[in-house]
Amino acid sequence: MRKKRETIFLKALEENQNKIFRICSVYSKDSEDAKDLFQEVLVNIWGALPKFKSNSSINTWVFKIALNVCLRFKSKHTKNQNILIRLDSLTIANIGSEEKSDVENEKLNNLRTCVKTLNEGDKAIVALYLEGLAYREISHILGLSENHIAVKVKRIKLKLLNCINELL
Amino acid sequence: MIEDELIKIWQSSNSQERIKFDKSKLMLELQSSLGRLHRWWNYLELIEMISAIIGILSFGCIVYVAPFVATKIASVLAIVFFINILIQLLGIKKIKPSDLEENYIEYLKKTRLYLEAQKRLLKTSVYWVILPVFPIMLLFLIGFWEIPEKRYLIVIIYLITIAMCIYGYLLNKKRVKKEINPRIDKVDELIKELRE
Repeated sequence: MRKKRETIFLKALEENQNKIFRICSVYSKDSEDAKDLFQEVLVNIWGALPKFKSNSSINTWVFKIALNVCLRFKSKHTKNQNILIRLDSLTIANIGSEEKSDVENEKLNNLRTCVKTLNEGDKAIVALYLEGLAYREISHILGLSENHIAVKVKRIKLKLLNCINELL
Repeated sequence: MIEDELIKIWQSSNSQERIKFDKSKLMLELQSSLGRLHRWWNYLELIEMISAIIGILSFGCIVYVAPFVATKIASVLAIVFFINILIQLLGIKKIKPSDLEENYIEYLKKTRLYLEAQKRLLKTSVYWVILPVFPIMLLFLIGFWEIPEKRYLIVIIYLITIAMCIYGYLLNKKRVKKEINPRIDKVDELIKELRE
């Protein structure tokens, strides 16, 4: 049973680690904060895994946990530092921008800056949209209708494009 | 910039941060972190329970050994008082949102409900914690008034009780204003932002 749980967890982690980390980054003020949050999300995913029903998508389920943990982390942060989770086996290295051109880096930094300027509600939607999730999956994770998500995404994209154009 | 390019740019951040982990070590650490968290919560609950039980047992003993009827009655009332506090605290714990598998809106609504309950508990604590302390304490000490050399001590104890109750009341008021209300406002705002 434990072995099966470990296999599901590791598979989900390998497939979604970068996505989860990016969601954590949206809700963090800096990269250190994002790393703390990422570790908290992992522990909570592991803790909630026995409740996971295999008839639903593990990826959608993982995002649901990640978003709720981000929300909880944000509201209790700075108060419960004493029970902050530290996973030494995990390293998140900033490998920098060597592999990418300056233009690509600038685009990414501008997009990140603009995402940070959105309100918290829009951040939750855009974090999932930018990970390539379908409207149906986003609506399932957030508890809003697909039509509502479609309208919101359209508005948010416009906001982001305007913001990026202003930065250029 | 075309809209679909946003997704491409966003996902290109894979090449900026690299996550590495040792599988077997990570699994051990996750399990121990989870165990540590559970132990921490159990420890907090245990402290609350032990304090309440000590309080109840102490007053239970006083009921038998106290020389005055008023003190015995006050001790019985104190036991009821502690049991009531325990019930109220356990009641609020039941509605604490713990199911992370809920959808975001549902989780937000449950968080709001929990915060509202906390706020109500702190606001009404003046009636079921602070005010009952005065008559119970008065009844507890009044029997000792018959001993003249203890009178001075009784007055001091009662004054300290009043000061502590006022401090507790102000502390609760501050917690509601500075901690709980802003969190409720934040959750409301987030629900509104998601729905509008």
